[in-house]
Amino acid sequence: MKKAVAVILTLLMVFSLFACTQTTENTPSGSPSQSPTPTPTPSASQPAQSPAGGGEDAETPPSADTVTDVSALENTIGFFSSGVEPASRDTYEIVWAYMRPMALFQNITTALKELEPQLNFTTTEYCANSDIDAMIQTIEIYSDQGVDGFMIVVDPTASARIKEVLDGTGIPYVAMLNSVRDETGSEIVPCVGIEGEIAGAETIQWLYDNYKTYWGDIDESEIGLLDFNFSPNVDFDDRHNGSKARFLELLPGNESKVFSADGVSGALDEQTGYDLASAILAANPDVKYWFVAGCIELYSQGAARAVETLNMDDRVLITAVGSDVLPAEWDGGYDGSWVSCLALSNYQYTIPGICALVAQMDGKATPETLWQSRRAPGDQVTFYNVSYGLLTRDNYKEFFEQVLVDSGLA
Amino acid sequence: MTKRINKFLRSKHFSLVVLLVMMIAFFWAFSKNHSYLGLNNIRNILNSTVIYTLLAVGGGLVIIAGEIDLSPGYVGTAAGAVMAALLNSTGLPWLVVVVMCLAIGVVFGLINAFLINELKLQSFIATLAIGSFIAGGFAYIVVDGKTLEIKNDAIALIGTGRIGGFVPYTIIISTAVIVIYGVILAKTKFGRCVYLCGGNREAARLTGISPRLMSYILFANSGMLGALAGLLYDARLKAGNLTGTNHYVFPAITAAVLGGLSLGGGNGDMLGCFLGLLIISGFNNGLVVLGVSPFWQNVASGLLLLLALTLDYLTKRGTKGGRAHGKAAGV
Amino acid sequence: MEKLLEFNNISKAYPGVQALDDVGFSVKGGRVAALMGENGAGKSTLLKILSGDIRPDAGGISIDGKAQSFESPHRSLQASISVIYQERQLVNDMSVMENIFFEDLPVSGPGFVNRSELRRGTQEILDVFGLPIKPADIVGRLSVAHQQMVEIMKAYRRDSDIIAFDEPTAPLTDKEIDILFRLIAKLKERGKIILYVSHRMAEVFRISDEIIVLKDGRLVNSFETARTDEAELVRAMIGRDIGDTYANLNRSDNIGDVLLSVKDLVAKGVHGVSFELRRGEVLGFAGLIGAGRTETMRAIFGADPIISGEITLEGKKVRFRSPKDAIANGVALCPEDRKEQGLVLGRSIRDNISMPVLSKVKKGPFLDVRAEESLAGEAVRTYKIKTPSSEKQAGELSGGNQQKIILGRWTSGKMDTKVLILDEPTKGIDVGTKAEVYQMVCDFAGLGIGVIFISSELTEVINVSDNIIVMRDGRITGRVARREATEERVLALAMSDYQESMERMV
Repeated sequence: MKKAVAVILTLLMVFSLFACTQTTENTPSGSPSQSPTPTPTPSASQPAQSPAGGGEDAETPPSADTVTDVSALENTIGFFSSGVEPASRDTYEIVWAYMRPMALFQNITTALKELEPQLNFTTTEYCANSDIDAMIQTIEIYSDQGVDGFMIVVDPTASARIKEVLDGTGIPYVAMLNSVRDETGSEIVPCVGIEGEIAGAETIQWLYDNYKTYWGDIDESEIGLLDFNFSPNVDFDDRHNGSKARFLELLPGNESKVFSADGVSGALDEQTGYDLASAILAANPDVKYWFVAGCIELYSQGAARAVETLNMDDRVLITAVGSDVLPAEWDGGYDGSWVSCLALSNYQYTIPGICALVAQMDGKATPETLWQSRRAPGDQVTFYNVSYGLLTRDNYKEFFEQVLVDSGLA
Repeated sequence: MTKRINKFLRSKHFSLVVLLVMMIAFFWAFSKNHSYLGLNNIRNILNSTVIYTLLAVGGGLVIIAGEIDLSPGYVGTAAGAVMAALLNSTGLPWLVVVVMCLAIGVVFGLINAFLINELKLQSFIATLAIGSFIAGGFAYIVVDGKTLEIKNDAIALIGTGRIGGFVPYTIIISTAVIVIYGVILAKTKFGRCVYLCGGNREAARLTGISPRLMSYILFANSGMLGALAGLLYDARLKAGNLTGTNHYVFPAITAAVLGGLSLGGGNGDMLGCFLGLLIISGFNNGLVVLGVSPFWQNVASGLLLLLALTLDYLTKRGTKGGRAHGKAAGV
Repeated sequence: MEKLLEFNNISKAYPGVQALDDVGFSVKGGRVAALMGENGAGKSTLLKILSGDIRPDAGGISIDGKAQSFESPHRSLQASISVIYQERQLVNDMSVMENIFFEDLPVSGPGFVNRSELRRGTQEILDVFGLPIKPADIVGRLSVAHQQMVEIMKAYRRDSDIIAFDEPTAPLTDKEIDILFRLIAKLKERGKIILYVSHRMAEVFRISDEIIVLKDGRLVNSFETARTDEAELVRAMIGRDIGDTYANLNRSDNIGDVLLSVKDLVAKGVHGVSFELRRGEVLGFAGLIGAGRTETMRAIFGADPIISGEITLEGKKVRFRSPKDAIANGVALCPEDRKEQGLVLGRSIRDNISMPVLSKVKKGPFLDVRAEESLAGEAVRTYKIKTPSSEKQAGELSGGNQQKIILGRWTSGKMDTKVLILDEPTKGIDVGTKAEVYQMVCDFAGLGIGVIFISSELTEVINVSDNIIVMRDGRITGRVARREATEERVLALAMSDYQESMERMV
């Protein structure tokens, strides 16, 4: 009897496994990729060209061996060709690996899926659930499976080891979002992200330039700053520092009203943002007006909830670096104190990244040759700074439409 | 000889072996180039069992003796963080650092035992409290919220080195642990006392065994193995980590339960535990190899846990020992 | 129309024991029938059948001529029966009023509890009883006596036609007993049928109209209270003809010098106990449940802490801090509850036998399984334990065989037992195995071991022991040698405190 049940349960497991396998191979993962995005690129049949209808028309790419940096020919959205026709080679298999589920990562997955036909590759997604050891193990597993490339968000707490393992596999890779630097601060892995300090500073600058629209002509000395941070991550730390520095530049007399909130004791999630914001806002009733800067959107989202609960919507302006959460809220009719964010479209991340990876897989680029014109002094390889915009409720839709046009996916 | 074979065929271990073989066959068939059984992948599977093995052995012994320890994962994180801090800020030799960190595990274990035996707290509550609030926060305080890279060569070698360029030291360590404890559990007086205390604590006490002493030893041991798990985790990353092994206990115990450990105590052995670990790790590895989307992976793991618990329940109810237990409780 | 409760040919068997054997009697309304008998006579089983807790194997209950069948306690309640057990059936965290109206809370509106109605109804009942309890008092914080009264008030509220009490006065003071008896009188007036189980002679004579005596599961006789006396009742409760078994026992009357001496032992439930045990002696400890015998022995064995007192073993002063100490000095204890405290049911017979001597069956750092097997094999053979092999799980054996495992454990080749304490060793065992156990006890004594034999079965303890010590309420009330012991005398000593209270009450 026992054995019979065991066999039945095993068959059930086998069957469900089979079902799961089918799901990933035939359809894009989950349904979200279907509805909100526009139809996949119609220019799939035109290989080796910059996408139709895209910004500037690129010249017919010269043969690869005369140009050491194939990425120099990128268009406004960062798209470039390696010189090898995608249809002329086998389908590449890449692994898109990240540490925890975040809206931005899901959106990057969506963008990758859309680009698959055009650049002739397939994507396998992997989420390590905050377990770095599991991430490393999985890199090994995939490398043994013979994948062709990795697009990976490198966790800064063990970046040296992760790089070591990746180098050990001999497989090309490109990093996303988190920079990987050595002791001297020099970037050692080609990475697509945003320069943290500038991003943080620009969000505050925008609030300062625009606060009068919301508050009228108030006494500037009454403005305080709630600045979120997540110190273990150097990029987030940079954003936090950038916001703080710019705030103090603009309002030097308000130093006593500056509060930093480090989410290190909690998780990288909305709840932590909520808890920290509630605590600080409630503990400082003497501060009449607040700028709130979020190094990641989740914190700002939590803060927005906290402000609603504390009924302070008319005295607080929230901003954030990242534009995956707020536009969705705007779509849903949100009109609260979280008024702006630094926009980074998932396409702006994905396209330079996948092109760099494909170029490496084609053998037409190496980490050192990529994006030479964008390299900061002192860096061994390039940290590709994605260009951004400051979004408000009024202009966000246009922004994203323009991005799609630029990517050739409109 | 045939009697032994018969006994094996009827035992739980046999069902596990069958399950393992079926699973391997399935993944082998569907994996690209049949790579599932490639030497490299086998090593990958064993690699992923390392941390779980240590926690399953330590925690498993505690459960057999009738209690439960939810803290080893957190203790491991704390121990690893301390190791990174000590290696970076002091000049102490690595062996001394390792011993100190293992001692931290022992201390947490003794604290657990104290709360449970002297203050009569329930082991579930006490170990969960110690684990999450103290060991978890402890890690942050010690490294001041920063993650420190480990540059010590010896630790790096243990964590990432391989014998003959192929067999990682970490696998050797975890295998040694499970074999040694397996022998202790099966063949020594101490091991027998673990089973007796788990089977009927009062009866054991009335025949001269000291369940209290056993409790202290087993919790200290669980803490130590938890610390060891954390040390190996950080050694593999070559960096201190603030959340590393925190949640590793549950999959570890799941594997042990799948392998025949009964959550009520008194049953289980290391061989079954090892088979359970292989099944779970092999399963997770298989899912990755097949390219199953990460969210379906969670579903599948959940189903496996359900399977484990159901089998445990059915086995306990079906055997005569279970029926006798029911009779004793009921009549 | 007078109510009538009939028990018709009720039989109930448990593995190895016939708890009730064709028991039948009837009680009319407006009368109190007392149920008396030794422990194990079947009184509790009968009450459990009445309350619907268990079903009889044969026979049944009739009320007013109609046969009843209770599939559950709920059905019994519906048939207007309330059984008040010795153990509390109250919800400790709730208030008195909530407990009293437990299954019938007054409601108003869409199902909300009408608290004022609840309080009023409870106060009415409390006034009838006249106790210093308030409706809102939390039951868990009341004294045991008051909790018992709340239990009784529950039955009163239900206004059941048939009410059974199981040793209700054990936790009560005299004043409360008066209240209870006045209540019972009132219930009688109203025509209720009352069953009253008790060991206490004085109370039985005070309150009952008739007395029904059970023994070994059978109805011995029923007596009109007014026309009988204590002596006749005691005779009815005891007379048995297992005389043969005892006569055939092979005793060795070789009693040596003092082995164990206990002076003024004080522990929880033990209030100053002194006695001596000699080599080769079987020292019986008689008394009713709760007398303090188990507590005394556990304290001596080191299982429970000693408050004060002196224990001397073979001339040396000892105080065992743990069972390990006691065992190392040759003192062994077979616990009262062999399943909960004696055996590890999930392990094999072999494992259970070697438990106290694990250090002695080692080969190097490992356990010597061969040595264990031979140890177990010896025990199985010597005590004729019915099992195909010593690998069988202990939980699969019958009660008698399980008891033999425990005996085998303490007398195996590797043990050097000097004092063997047996606590209710024949509880729940069939007659045949009982006889075997008695012989074993005598054999142990023959080897020079001092055996302490605790039993609540009078016949057994009197006929097996060389000397009998009787305890009550944590004190020794008498010592009797076997030759002079009669069951009447021992029972009287076991109940002796009530002699005095009998005078007071009547």
